[in-house]
Amino acid sequence: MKTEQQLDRLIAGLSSELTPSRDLWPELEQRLTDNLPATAEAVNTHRWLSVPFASAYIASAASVLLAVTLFWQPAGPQPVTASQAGSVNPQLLDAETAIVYSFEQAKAKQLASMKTVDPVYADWQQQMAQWQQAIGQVQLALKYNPNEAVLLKQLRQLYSQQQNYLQKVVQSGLV
Amino acid sequence: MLRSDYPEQRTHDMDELVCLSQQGDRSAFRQLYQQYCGRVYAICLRLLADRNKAEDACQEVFVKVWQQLSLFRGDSLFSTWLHSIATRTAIDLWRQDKLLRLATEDMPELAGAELGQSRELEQLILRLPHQARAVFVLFALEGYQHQEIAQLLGIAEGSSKSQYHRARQLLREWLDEN
Repeated sequence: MKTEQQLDRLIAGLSSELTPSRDLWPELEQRLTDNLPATAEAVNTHRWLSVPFASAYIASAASVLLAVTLFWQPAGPQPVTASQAGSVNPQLLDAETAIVYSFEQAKAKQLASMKTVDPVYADWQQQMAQWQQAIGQVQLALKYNPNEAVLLKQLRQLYSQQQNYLQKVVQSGLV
Repeated sequence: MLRSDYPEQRTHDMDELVCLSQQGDRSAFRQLYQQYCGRVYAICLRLLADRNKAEDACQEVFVKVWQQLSLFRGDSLFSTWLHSIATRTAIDLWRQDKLLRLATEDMPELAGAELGQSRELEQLILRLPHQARAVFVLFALEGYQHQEIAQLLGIAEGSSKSQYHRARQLLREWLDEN
């Protein structure tokens, strides 16, 4: 068995930094847009934003919203279609774009680093195509439900699975 | 490797970037992100042992930092302040994960680029039992004391010590097997 000193040496050799498998900035930047920084003044002086007061404000806002929803009549006779609904809110689509962008970028790098492929992964292109098909289906669903958290998570997971698989394929050719 | 072990040689530049970020300058904040992303991601990955969760957690940390930048007064190093947010965020997610994790979940297969040269030990750390891994990461890699770890994880100080020894024992055994 390794001695305590040997283990200590190995621990000391661990890097303090690890690199994510993809660029997280595009998605993060999108999240920054949705979460504006609080100003110090707001934090320090707006003590009235306590839970009881905030609840009252939310209740008032909700009743106004309900009234508007009940009594407001749209100006035009045309109902909003699903595709139009998607196009009127580009910010919501951006989260999806950010995910696609960062994973596709990482995928392009992986493919560029590919040399040979182990025969075990001979059908890697078909496998990749299957993931791509699943990704396409989630993207289709996102067109009708833009920014749906569950769908975005699913999109991320599918891309991530595809990325992990591709990583194995790439590594098989390097051994 | 200790809590204050962030690269912050160019303190002047850092101060300027922090100051600009506090004014809402996103390109300055991007530079801060680039400077500290690797360090924050390392804490998240080692605690959560899952690449996707670690990436989400890493983003979560920087969103919190962005939102709370105005509260940073410069009483401590920016890196220390950031580290504290990173650790607490990762521990919060670690706690949620503890409740949700399925016994059948596979351990992540990590790419070489993520791990540097200590691939084997990194991979074994991720195999450690949930609590033993957290204690080991916080004590051996992040420089926290057992008393602090006990408070952070909501366990007894004695449990922290025993989990740490258990983690070391397992690592030594596994390293021998490989």
